[in-house]
Amino acid sequence: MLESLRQHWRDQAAALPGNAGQRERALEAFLAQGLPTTAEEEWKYTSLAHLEEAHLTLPGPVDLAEAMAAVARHAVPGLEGPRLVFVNGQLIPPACHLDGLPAGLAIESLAQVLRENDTADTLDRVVDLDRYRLARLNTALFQDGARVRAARGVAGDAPVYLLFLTLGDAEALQLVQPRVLIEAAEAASVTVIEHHCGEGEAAVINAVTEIVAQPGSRVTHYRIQEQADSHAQVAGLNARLDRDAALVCHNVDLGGALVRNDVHVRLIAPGADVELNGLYFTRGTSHVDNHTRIDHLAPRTTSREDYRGVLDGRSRAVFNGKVLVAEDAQKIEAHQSNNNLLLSRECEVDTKPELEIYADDVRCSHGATVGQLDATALFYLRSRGLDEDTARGLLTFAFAEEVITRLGIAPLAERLSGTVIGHLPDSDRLREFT
Amino acid sequence: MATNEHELEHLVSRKYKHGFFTDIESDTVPPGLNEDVIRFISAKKEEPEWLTEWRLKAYRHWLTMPVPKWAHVQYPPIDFQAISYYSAPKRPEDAPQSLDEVDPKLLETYDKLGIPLHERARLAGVAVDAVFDSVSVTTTFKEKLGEAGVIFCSFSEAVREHPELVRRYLGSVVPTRDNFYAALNSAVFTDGSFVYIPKGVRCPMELSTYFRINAANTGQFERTLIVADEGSHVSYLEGCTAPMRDENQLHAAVVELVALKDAEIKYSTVQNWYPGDEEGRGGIYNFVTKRGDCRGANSKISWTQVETGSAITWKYPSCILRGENSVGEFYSVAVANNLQQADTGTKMIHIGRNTRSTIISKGISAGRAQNAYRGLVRVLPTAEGARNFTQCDSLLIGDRCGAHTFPYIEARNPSAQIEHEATTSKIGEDQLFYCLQRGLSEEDAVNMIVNGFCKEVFRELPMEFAVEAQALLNVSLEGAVG
Amino acid sequence: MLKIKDLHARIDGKDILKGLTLEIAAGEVHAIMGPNGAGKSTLAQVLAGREGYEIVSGSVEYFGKDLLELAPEERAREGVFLAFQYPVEIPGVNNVYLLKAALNAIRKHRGEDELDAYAFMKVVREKMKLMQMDPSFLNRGVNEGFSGGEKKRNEIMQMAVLEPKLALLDETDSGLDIDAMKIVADGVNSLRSPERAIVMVTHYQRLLDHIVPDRVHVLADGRIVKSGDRSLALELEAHGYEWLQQAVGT
Repeated sequence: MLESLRQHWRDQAAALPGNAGQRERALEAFLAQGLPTTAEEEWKYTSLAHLEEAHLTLPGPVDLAEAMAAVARHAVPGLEGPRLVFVNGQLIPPACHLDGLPAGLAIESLAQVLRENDTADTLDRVVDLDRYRLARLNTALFQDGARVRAARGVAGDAPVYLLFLTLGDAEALQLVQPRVLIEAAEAASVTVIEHHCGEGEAAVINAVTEIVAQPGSRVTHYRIQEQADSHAQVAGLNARLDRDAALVCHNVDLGGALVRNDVHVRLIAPGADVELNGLYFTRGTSHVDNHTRIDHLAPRTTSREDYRGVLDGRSRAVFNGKVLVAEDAQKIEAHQSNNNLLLSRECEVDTKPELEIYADDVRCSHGATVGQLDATALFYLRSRGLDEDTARGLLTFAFAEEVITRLGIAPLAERLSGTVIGHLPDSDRLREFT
Repeated sequence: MATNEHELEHLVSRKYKHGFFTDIESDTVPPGLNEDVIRFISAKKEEPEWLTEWRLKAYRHWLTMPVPKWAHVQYPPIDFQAISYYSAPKRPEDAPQSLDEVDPKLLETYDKLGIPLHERARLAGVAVDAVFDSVSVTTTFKEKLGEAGVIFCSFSEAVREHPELVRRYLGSVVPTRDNFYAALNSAVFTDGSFVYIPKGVRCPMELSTYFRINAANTGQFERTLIVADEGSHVSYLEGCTAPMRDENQLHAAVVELVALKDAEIKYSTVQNWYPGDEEGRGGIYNFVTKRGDCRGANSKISWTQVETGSAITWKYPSCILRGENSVGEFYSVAVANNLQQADTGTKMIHIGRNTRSTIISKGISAGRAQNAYRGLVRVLPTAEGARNFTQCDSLLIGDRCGAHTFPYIEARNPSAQIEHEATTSKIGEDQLFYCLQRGLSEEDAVNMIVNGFCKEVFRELPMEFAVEAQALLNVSLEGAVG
Repeated sequence: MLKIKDLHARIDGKDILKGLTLEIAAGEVHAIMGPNGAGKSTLAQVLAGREGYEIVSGSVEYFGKDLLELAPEERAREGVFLAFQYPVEIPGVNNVYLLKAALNAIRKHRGEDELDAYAFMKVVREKMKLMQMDPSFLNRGVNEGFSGGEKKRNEIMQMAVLEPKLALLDETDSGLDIDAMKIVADGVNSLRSPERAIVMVTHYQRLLDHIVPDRVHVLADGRIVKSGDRSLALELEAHGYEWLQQAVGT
């Protein structure tokens, strides 16, 4: 892998937008350390070893007609409003629309931004590169992405829809690297949906998102992942919240063969608040690993986290949620929960909710459960005449639906509910009930 | 391979015959560790050849192991070549001759804990007349156990008197290669306790090291092996609430428990080794491997611990739930004050059907201490119907300490039910004010609240131990408030 | 017994008591009424010595001593008892254990012998009966899992055991149904004595139907704005606090 990346650099450096020096430094630093291995605590349960040997290629130009057809297949119906669409890392202008944006809300192609303004401070503003090394690979070789900026006091209420579509190629194992930067200035609010989907042969997606939330701003972020069963996706979401800023993140994983998400939120000033909602539904032989980390670095910061998982087939899910309270960060409230439903005999879940606390005036809690459907509820439904499979499906759906209802955007929730039902046995019958 | 091993054995025994340690009569070996030292220890204890070999194998593996670094503790590297691995009991004339020669601070603590006068001398290492109160106690005690067929003796004695039992079970729960400190212990352990409860016997009394034969100088590398045969029951108490005088900084004990079908072992520990002074100077490094194997169906192993001592504690009493319907329990209170560091917890490995485990952990941090809970609940595919409940609470006293929770849950059976709950909070101002308003002093109020916080664990301790543990907690937290 | 003079107190930089003056003599029962946020609970908390309140100026004299100088536990031992509006739960700490520790701390302070377990239990059983509490309450954690009414009864039971000189009842009627209110009121009434003063802080006058006060004070905006006898409470009930605020021109 390593050599192929150097080759790409030599071939394409000139074509990549932005600061070549910054990209080259990122690449060299990444190559010097290599991919994370299972010997590292943070990667204990997830191996990227197969990428070591893989020959990755950067995607070339896409066929517009093919791209447009694929977009039609995957885009969430009914989601009006501003939209940027990327296929295999390239912007597809005919699929985008940015009409009628409120003044002060800017949605741009990141490549465009970097071409026009070649400064090094657009990238890697928030991400902790030493902790999350894969971001360096993205910085070095990403082709395009989006920047969403809400100016001071602007309410960008309509969700900004960013569709990242990966079409796998039988000829080459493509490395697609979406990149998103969200900036909310003081008292601004903005909502961004990142929708990652894919089809076709195997591909590797390495996404990086950075969120800068200035004092009093509100950011709502969705990362919806519906990759093809052959795709591997790693994604790093990094956010920094200033005084009284609020961030809500929804992370939904319904696809992918190997998925790893790292969410790292830093609450750097009093009053900052974050809420993380997560849902993963793993099937077949898929492997989905969610690592979240919330750093309470200032007093009176708060966080809530609720991740739910449904596991089926021979799949494996990993959850690692860390809450850190720094010294002198008093009056903290942090609550976290992770609940898992195991549907098959061959699946496995590894969960580790962590608290690391260096201040005393705190109220922190976490909980984790692994289990099956409530036997009483199951019995109740069956006693009302449902057959067992339907009853199970219904209860499983209800378990997942609690996270989906929190999404708050009807077309999106509808789409995801549909996908979840489709994953359950007896889905036709279930549709009648829901 | 077999030839190689044979050759090796031959080489080893030949060397031994040649006796490179001319001074076999010596009471102490110079600091340092090599195969000769291990042979010396083994020879000193007149051990059979298989045990010498067992030790050497452990040693050779230990050499290949890195020092573990994953625990949430910090300390300077230990120089294993600077430790003396064998020293005979101190001669009476070297010990303090009376309590007057003992550090008054130590005596003050004994007073607060209400340690009986005759016990204070023994604990402080005063040379006590051999006709000591507990000798008669020990005799009646031995008779009573003998009638029941219970074997309770020092590890060395067990090796001599019951070699077949020792050979069968030693290392069967904690293999020599298990971890760095277990390997070291296997190579150099000097003594410890051995317990065997025969089939169907309910041990007629609590077995306590308080009255232990050969209690002195089991040393820093202690080895305990408890085997409960089918349908038997035993409760074992380890340690003592009084701070023991000890000059060895590194303690790396190994405790192995084996519970066969329908057997039950209850193992209670109160650990109060020297924690170092308020600036963190001195203090014991307590790196212990404790593990119980519920080998038979319906067996049960229960660990209860109150950990207040040591500069660094690194300890995870665990249960391997192999037998169907077997039960593992872990109840723990860990207190860290001043500059103490504790990284403690448990592992529950569910292998058998319908195995159940309960974990109740109460961590208290004060001063500038760091206190971490680290636990693993693993449910293997074979563990149909496994259940675990974990409650893990941390209490913070003061704003310079830390409390950390690292629970690992690995579930591979869909019928498993695992619940983990953890909370971290400081002593509530409301609670404190309520007690003060009722007329209690701040110190009493804190003690009362802390003891309440720990109650679920204390009630698992044998009665007299529980009372002592409460007193100990209060002494350990002295000066933490205000 | 208690002389509060021009007391000013604040919390988190916010002035709550703004020149409160009040005198209470032994044997008297006073009711302090007032709208929410007037400072009623603050007064009770300040008298009991809760931390976090800053005394800006004024004085509180209790049996000739400067009450504000004393630590909360010293006040308690000198006979000040606060029945909490929200009694605190202390998991794992036995009710009876707390009570015994408290009673003996107070007795010791008075120069009396500590009660042995037998004598203590005798006292407690008697008081529990008075408050119609099930003996099983004793072995439960302090207020742990108690209903609102049970907590309030437990407060008065503690008061009966500790026999304070000055009892401050902070919204003791809140959250009580009529039966529980009667039990609490009977308990309080049985503790009326020539040596003891009782101060009830309440928003509603209904408690005063059961515990008839000698004096009624209206606290508004951090000051006593009107004092009177029982009839003042009835007037307030009839006309509401706005009437009063208009009447006194605040």
